[in-house]
Amino acid sequence: MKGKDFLWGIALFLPFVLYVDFWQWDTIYPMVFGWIPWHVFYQILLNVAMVVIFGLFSLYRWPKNPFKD
Amino acid sequence: MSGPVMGAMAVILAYLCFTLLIGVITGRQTSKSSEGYFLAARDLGPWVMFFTLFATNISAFAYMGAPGGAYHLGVGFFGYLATTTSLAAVFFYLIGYRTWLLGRQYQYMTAPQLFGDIYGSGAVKNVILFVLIIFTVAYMVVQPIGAGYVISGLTGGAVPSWVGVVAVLVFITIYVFIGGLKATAYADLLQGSVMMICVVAAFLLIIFKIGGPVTAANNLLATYPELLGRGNFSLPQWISFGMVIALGVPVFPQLFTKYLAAKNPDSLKTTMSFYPFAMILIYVPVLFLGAFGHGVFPGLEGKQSDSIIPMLLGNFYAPWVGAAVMAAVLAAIMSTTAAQLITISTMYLKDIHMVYFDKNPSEQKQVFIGRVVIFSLAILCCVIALNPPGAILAIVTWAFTGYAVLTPGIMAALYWRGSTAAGVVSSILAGEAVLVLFAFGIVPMSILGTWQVAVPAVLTAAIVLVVVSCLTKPNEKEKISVDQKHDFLDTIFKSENA
Repeated sequence: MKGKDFLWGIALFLPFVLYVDFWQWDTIYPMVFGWIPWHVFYQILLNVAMVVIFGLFSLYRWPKNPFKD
Repeated sequence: MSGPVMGAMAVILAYLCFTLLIGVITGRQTSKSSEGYFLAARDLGPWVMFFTLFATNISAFAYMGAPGGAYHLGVGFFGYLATTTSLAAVFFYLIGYRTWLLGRQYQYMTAPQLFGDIYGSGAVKNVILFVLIIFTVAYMVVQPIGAGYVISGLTGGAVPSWVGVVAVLVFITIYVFIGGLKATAYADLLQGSVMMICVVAAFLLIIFKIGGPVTAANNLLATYPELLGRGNFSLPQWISFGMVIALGVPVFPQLFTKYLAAKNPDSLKTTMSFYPFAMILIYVPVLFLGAFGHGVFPGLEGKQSDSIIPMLLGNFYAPWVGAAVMAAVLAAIMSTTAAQLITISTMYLKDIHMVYFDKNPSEQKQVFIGRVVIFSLAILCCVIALNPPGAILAIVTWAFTGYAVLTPGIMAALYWRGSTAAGVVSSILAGEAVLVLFAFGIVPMSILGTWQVAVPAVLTAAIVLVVVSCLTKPNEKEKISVDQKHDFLDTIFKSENA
C-alpha cells in the first residue's frame, strides 16, 4: 500500500475510533452555546469532521471514472 | 368534525397529492424499459441521489422513536444515532462505488445478482436474496403502521388509523406503480427536503414557546440532569450499536438499488460528503425536543413519549400547524416504503422470476411483472399493517443485525480475491445462525451483558468467512468469474489514475 493510501485509510477509519469517546463519557460541561452538553457537541464536531474528510477524499483520492460519461 | 381538524386533514391530503404529482410527472418518461423502470435508467444525478438515499434511510423512527428515546434516556442519543449513521457513509465509497462500477460494466440490477455473479455461484445469490427478502419485507410491511398513528394523532382520532394506513399506501403505490425508481427518487427529493425543513421548523416553533434553548436546558439541568449526560448508555451498548448501524445500513437492498442507479461517481461522492451534515440537521432538533419535552409533559411512560413532538406542537399551535410540520414523518415513511417496494419487485423479477419461470421476457413484460409485484406487495403491506402478527414485529427487531451479518461477505466479495463462494455462504449462514440462537432464546441474552447480538453475530460471520475461504478451493468456473471481476476492479483502483 502506498504511503498516501495508508494515510487516507487512517483518515477514513479514524472517525470509527473517535466515535467511542470513553474518556469524556458523562462530560456535560462546558455547555456549548449554553444548551449543548460537551459530549453532544463533540459528536457534532465529529460529524463535521466526517463532512470534511469525505469531501476531501472525494475531491483528491476517489479513482477516476473509467466510463466515458 | 371541527374546523381545525379539517384543516389538518387538508394539509395532509395536499401533501400526499403533491408527492403523487411529482412522482407521476417525473417517472413516466423512464418507465418503458426494464432498466428505466427499475433503475431510473442509471441516471440519478448527485442531488437526487443524495436526497433519495437520505430519505430512504431515515424512517419514521427518527421522528417518533428517537425523540421518544431522548425523552427517557437523554440527548446522548445523538452519537448513538447520528454519528453511527454518518459512519455508514464511508461504505457509500467502500461498497457503493465498487457496486456501481460492476453494475455498470456487467449490467447488474440487484445485489444478489451482483454478488452471485462475482463467484459464479447460485448459492451465494440465493443466500443473500433470502436474507434480504426476509428482513426487507418484514421491515416494509410495518412502516405504514406509523402513518396510521400519525394521521390519527394529528386529527385527534377523527381519522382512524386504518384509513391513514390505506391512504398512504394508495398514494405510494400509485407513483411507484406508474414511474418506478425515477418516480420514487424524485418524490424523495421532495420528501427529503420536507423532512429537513419540517424538523428545523418544529424545533424553532417549539423552542421559543418554552423560553429558548438555554432556558430549556437550564430547566432540564434542574429537574432531570441525567438527560443531558450519557449515564443511561454503557460503552458496550455504544460500540454494539455503532456496529449494527454502520454495518447494517450500507447493505440495505434499497441502497444497492440506488448505488446501481447512480449516473456517475459524482452522485456517490456528493451523497457520502454531505450525509453526516444531514444527520446533524435531523437529529439535533428531534433529540433536544424529546429531552426538553419533559418540561411540558413530564411522566410519560413507554411508547407514549414517541409522540412527544406532535404533542408539543399540539400544545402550542393549531392542528394544521402540527400537520404541516409532521408531514416530515409521512415523508420518512413514504420514502422508505416506496424504495423497498421497487427494490423487492426488482429482486423478485431478476433473481426469482427470470431465473425459475421465464428466462427471457420482453422489456414490457418485465415492467408489467414488476408492477404486478408492487401491487401485490402493497396489498400485503396493507393487510399486515392493519393487523401485524407478532412474528413480523420480531423479525423487524432483528433486521439491522440481520443485515449487518452480510457485510463481511459483501466486503470480501468486493475486496478479497482469495475469498470463496463457500466462505461467503458459510459466513452468512453462521452469522444468521448466531442471531437465531439469541432471538429464540436458545442462548440466553444475559451472557452478553450489555453487548448486543450484532457483536458475536458479525464476528462469527467474519471468522467463518476467513477460515472457510482459506480451507476451500474454488472450482474453475468460480475462479474465472472472481478473477474477471477483480481484474476489472484492479484496472481502476491500481491504475496510475487511481
